[in-house]
Amino acid sequence: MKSAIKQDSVHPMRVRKAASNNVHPGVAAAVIILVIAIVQYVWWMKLVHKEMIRPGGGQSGGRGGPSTPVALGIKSVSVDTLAGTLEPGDADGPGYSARFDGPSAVALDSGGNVVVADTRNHRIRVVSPTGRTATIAGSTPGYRDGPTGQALFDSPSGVAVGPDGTIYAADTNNHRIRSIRGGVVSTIAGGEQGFNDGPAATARFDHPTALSLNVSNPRSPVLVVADSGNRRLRAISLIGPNPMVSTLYQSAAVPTGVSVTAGAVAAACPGAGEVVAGTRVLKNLSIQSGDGDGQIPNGALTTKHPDAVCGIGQRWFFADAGHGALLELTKDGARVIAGNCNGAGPMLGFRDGNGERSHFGVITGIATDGKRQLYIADCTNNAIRRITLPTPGAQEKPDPDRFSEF
Amino acid sequence: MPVARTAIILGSVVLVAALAVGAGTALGAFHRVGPQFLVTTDVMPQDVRQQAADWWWIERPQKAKARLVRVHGGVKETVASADEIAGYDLDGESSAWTSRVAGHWSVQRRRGDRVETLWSGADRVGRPAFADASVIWAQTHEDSPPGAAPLPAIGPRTEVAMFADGAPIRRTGRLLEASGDIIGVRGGHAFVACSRAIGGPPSVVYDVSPVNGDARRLAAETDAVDAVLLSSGELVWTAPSRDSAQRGNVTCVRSIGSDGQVSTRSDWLPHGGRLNVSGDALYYSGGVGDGGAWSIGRNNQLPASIRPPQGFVVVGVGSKDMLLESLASSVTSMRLYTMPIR
Repeated sequence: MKSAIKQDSVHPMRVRKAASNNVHPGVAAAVIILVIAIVQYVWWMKLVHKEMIRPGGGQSGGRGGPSTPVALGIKSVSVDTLAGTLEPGDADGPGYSARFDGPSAVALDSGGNVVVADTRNHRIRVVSPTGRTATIAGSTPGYRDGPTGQALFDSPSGVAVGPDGTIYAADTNNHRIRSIRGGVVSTIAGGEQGFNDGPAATARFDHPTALSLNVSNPRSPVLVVADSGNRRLRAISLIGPNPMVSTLYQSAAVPTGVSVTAGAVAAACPGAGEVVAGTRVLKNLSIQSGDGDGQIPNGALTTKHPDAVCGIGQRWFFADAGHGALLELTKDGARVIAGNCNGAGPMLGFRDGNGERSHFGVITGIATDGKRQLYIADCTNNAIRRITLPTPGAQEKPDPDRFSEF
Repeated sequence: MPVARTAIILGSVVLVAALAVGAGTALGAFHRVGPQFLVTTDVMPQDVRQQAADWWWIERPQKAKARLVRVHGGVKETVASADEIAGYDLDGESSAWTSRVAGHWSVQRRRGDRVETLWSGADRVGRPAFADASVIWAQTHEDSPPGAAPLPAIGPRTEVAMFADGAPIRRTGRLLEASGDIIGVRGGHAFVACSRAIGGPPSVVYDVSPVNGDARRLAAETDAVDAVLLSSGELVWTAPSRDSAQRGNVTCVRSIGSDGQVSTRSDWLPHGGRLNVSGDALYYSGGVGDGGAWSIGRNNQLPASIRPPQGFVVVGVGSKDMLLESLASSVTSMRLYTMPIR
């Protein structure tokens, strides 16, 4: 180094050469490796950042790296298939041997039987608690009242069951609300496609889809109808021999799901991405992991096409066709109960297991036993699924923001 | 002597001529069984058919318009060009196809050099079919954007439309399906293959009466299907294997008889191929990772392999010949050959 300094004033070029000659090769190699490592680190960080935040607020990152789907459901939830399988068909029978074609809605009777609106088969079916499927009414598409063996429906998409065992069906493409009681199918409201409130005989609907029965006052039961074409929630007062139809709520969006629990009503409008709960319209709800382990930044993953709702006591559950998952409304948004949902796109599939590992197709109907079990119309998987929630814990306290009653 | 000499000379000439003719015939015969160069193309032909001396197929390049192509005498003619060509059918000198240009779908027919539009509009249309003097297609109407109406009852609806000269278009049937291709028409029944857009590919085959619209589901599969209607009236389609544990990677061929019973005709075929009809004979070609064709028997028989000559892969099977691609081709310039089905 001394000689190099001496030569500094004489010939700068020679100084540089001399100085470089004096750098130890090990040091040079270390510097090169360090520079490469820094460049690679910066590049990697940018890549991760780009993958983590996707357009539209989605996220694909998580415990397993950017390309690994995040499992957001609850491990202590169990999912199984009660009846049907992926292959569409119209066979009665036990468990997987039964065939459905586009089951759109489910409802539970007092005996634990699941009543199914089997839409593409134009039938009302029933699945016993042991999983045996039978046909209640319907065959080819059409409209005919009478004994269940002769009655015809056209694409029924909603069902509800009264405390006396009466089955109500939203006969969607006949624009009517039908009832099945004592082996006879009757029309209780509707006629030609249109809109009209008033006495049931002159009331008109436009593609009624979901139904829910409000029996909070047993002396004045009310059947709530998601009247999709009219973009309204309609109420049919079932008092006396002449039911009356009125408009309960008018929406800017098309409602496809409705549920009433303890006098409170909720609706799902997939086209607008809305869940309407009482007087509240909830849109783009932030989705969180069901186990609450903080895998998703707040707002990074939101609801897309909520299409079915169901209440148990103080809790509201809903399905999102854009995610293929069952979610629960929370104070701040929604959390995933079952089904995989990572925001990169719908993770539609067909797998039983726990809430974290299970997959669904497009869920279009939810019913509950009022306790721990939810029954699912898994429409694109042509199956009836069952979700068993964990024993209620401390987190399930009454929500002070309980949706308003009607 | 002069007479004998002349006879010898004449005999020699006749013998040489006979040998030449024989050699020429033998050479010609040899050439006919070997691959004959047909044409060069820049993209793999799809939905290949052979009609008389013509080959027809659809070309779907990634960065250019789709083309319906006819090859006659080694000359390639683009019959139609559009953003998408959903399918076509042939009937003697007539052809019909469905296509999309700038978001608008249309059904067109060519007779001789005259092309006429039978229908156009916003509804999606699938593969058409000739039925006597009519053209039939499936037309899908969707009110809502995908995901907005997940219930089948208010989702896409597919109807069967029938065009006949001098009559208004008649629409019948109402299938709660997201798309439909006409497989064929026989005895007043239109056979329609539908696939469901949301939630994957379960496919359903329907029998629809174009007269009164009555629809009957004949079969349903958990994968996309390729279906053909044989001249015997038998409806045949591809499906996930019934024998293999790897159902998604192995294909079987199923059929429905006049008694309505569905049975498996053959199994253990490579996934992703198409059915080809030659008279009453049925072939399968284009399976993933497979360069050959397969002859499909009956009664759940194993398929019989038809291997192309070395250096060639089977692109499709026509009514008399196979369409082959030379492996010496480049990706952008595929040399296509034909040779008789053996």
